[in-house]
Amino acid sequence: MEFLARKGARFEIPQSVREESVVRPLQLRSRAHDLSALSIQRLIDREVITVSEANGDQLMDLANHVFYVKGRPIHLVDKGEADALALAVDAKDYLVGIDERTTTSLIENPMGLKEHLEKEFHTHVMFNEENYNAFVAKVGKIGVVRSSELVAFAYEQGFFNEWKDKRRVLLAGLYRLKYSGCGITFKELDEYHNLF
Amino acid sequence: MDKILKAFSVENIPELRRLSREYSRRAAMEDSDEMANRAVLSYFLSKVLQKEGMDAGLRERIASLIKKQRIKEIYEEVARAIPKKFVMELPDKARVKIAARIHGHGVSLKRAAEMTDAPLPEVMDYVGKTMIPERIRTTRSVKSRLAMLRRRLLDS
Repeated sequence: MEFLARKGARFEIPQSVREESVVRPLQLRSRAHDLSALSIQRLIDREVITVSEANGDQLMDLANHVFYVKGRPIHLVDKGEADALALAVDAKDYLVGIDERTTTSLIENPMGLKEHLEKEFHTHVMFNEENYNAFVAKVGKIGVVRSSELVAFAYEQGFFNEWKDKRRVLLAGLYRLKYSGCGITFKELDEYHNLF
Repeated sequence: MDKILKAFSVENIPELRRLSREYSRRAAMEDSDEMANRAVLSYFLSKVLQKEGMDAGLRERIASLIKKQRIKEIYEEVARAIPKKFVMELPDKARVKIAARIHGHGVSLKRAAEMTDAPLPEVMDYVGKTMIPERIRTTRSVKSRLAMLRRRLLDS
């Protein structure tokens, strides 16, 4: 991220995302996520990442009342993602970085998500068009990218140039992201293979 | 809980696994912490039955706690009775696994983790190692996401 910031990228996260990615992991008994949390905090300290106040409550409420199963709404979107969306909406010409596939799918492919939910629950899922339209009206034509695109873009910009086999390092990094929870599929990894 | 008790009493591990899947789905559908906890318990018991140190006395004590719905005490009882190396992380692993399963049904990661009281980063890690992300389709290609990023970062 520091590399991309030097290239002019500006990263902003809501307070709720800092809470989830820094504060809570550092409170866990297991120390497994300390390094990642401390690395993010370091980026905040160095002002590579700005932490801002955001209120995505309304977006979250709308998103979580789009699909219903047996009269009950499905909780699809959390405060972190909703606040990040709200921050992006407040900016002009924005992109939002979200690694979780559910929120991305809700924005890009709501009918595909409906099908997925119906397959999972073995029952009809009700789509509340009014809430979805209100959600879309607020987020607009927002672009979603994942950590994997940031890494691929950094590769294009020369981040791995000092490595002997930089393409292999890029692909290794993408696999690492996938196995750490970034919502990319094996098919998308194949796409990266073909692109680079 | 009767179903869990019945399956546990006759050491029916496949039934406990089936119940765990059923309760996970209901937890997602009903946004229910109670169902999520039942799913964790069913899965936990299916694993415990396979452990060395599970004897008739412990089985009876667990059955009695299931009847009284004193779930937390079940985990404590097992931790006391079975050598640590066999069960130390079992309740935590069960929580993470069931949270991932609930997320796979469509519920957000954080809500799924909250339902089972599992640490969110561990659920994320676990999900990354499963086929769960493959099940949710998005429409935009990697190429088009990269193009968006280039436009935004190079043209600004």
